[in-house]
Amino acid sequence: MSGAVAGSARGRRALGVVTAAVLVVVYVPLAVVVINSFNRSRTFGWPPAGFTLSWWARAWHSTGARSALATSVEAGLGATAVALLLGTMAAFAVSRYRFFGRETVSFLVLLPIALPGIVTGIALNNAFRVLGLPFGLLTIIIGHATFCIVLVYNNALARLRRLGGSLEEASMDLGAGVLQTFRFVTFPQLRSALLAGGLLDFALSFDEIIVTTFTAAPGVQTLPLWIFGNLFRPNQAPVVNVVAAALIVLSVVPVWLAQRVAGDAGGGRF
Amino acid sequence: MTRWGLRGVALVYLAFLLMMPVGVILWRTFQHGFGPVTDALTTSQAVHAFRVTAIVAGFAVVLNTVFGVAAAILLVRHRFPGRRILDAVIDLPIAVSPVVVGLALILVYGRNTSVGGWLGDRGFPIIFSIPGMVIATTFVALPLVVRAVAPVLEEIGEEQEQAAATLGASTFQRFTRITLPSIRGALAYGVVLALARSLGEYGAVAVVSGRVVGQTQTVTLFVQERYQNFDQTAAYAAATALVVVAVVSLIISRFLRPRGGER
Repeated sequence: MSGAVAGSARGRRALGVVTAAVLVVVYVPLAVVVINSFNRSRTFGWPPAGFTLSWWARAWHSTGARSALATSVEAGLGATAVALLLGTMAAFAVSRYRFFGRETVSFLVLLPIALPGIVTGIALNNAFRVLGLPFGLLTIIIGHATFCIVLVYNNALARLRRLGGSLEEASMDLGAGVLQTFRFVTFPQLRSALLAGGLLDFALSFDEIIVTTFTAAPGVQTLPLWIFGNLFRPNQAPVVNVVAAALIVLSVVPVWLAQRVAGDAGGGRF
Repeated sequence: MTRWGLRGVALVYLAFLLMMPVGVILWRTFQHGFGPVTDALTTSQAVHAFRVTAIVAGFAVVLNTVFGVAAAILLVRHRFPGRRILDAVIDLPIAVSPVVVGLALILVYGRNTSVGGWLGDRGFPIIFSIPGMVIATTFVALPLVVRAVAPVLEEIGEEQEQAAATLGASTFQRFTRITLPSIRGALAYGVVLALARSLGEYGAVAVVSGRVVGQTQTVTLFVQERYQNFDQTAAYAAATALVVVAVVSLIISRFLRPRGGER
């Protein structure tokens, strides 16, 4: 391709160096976390003198880590479900109907992505107090849903805009009801976009810390909160490291799947 | 009926999850007028926090801009072994928890490690100081510029660059006179997104900074620390400042967003 263009070999090398340097500085530490979770030395001597699965076994039997894992999975599934429902509805409202304030709605839906997590967290904390909602799993789910909705909304909106409404109109002309049309015409076309959005949402919710801090009941911990709480306790270090490695794997898989599923829909991620 | 239903759900959701909470913050901030707010934001601690955030976010955005353009050109214009892997790992920061990023950086660049110790002995400590915070912030915002620029590079193709090359333009001339002007809008969009993300980062920075008041405290850490110490005036005032920056960057990004197939 542009290899044919004179002088581009040097440019390419320069680009390669810049890209590689940044990747090494930020990605090597992640690899170290995963490798260290098998490191036999409890002080993480480097290079590892030997490998063991015993930290993984210890982490698996750690009650704190296990209950945090359960909370994280529940919160992730709940937030993803809420986001799928509301995100799809909002995308429909904005893409299929013209109404007063439509631009404002589409602007406001995107706001949580730009809003720092700490602001969302404090804001929701206040709102829950005002509404008298007891803090617990439900409040975590609501908190995570605020930023999860954006991904579903973006993915669904991009897909709906590209599809246009002609198939739906045809279906209605042929006598299908609103629900029938959605079920047999719209939903099958949306499915992969929603799946991609949902997978990313689960990963996002799984990783979130600051909104969770302000929306969880005292004593309730998700995995990132558990890691944060145990980070500087030396005797917990190997277990923390295993949990971190598990968290990397557990969130990389959904994102990788989302990339494969989404294909062309990927552009609407942010 | 569906139409009203959808609209109703969207509005109720926005009202309860977004407008009300943010409204509460604004109201709490200004409930005693502007005086306490300006007082709270001009303490030496607050000013220092804003300065730290400006430095950290500034460096992170510059690094991400250089990296983002380089990686986007590599991905779109070149075929090389490992290209698909590069494409995949660029999105990794969305998937990895900021806390884990912080932990990973401590494991490699901490004072007790060989890399961190070596750098620390040469007067360049990474963890619990600004460089570590810059690395952490750069990481969490990594995909934003790449993913904004790459589709536009794809769209414009490379005929013009090739034409310039046959007319004798150097690589650098081609980049500054042809490539850069055509990706300008997308690049600005990515930079605004990266800036917003960098200003709001909490988890990774909380871990690697050590949260030393007056030294490594960013605005987000300042809000958290003040809130925990029941200094609500300062916490809300700084939170409002963050809201203003977020809203402004979102408005700017709306104008800059490249108008592709899916807007």
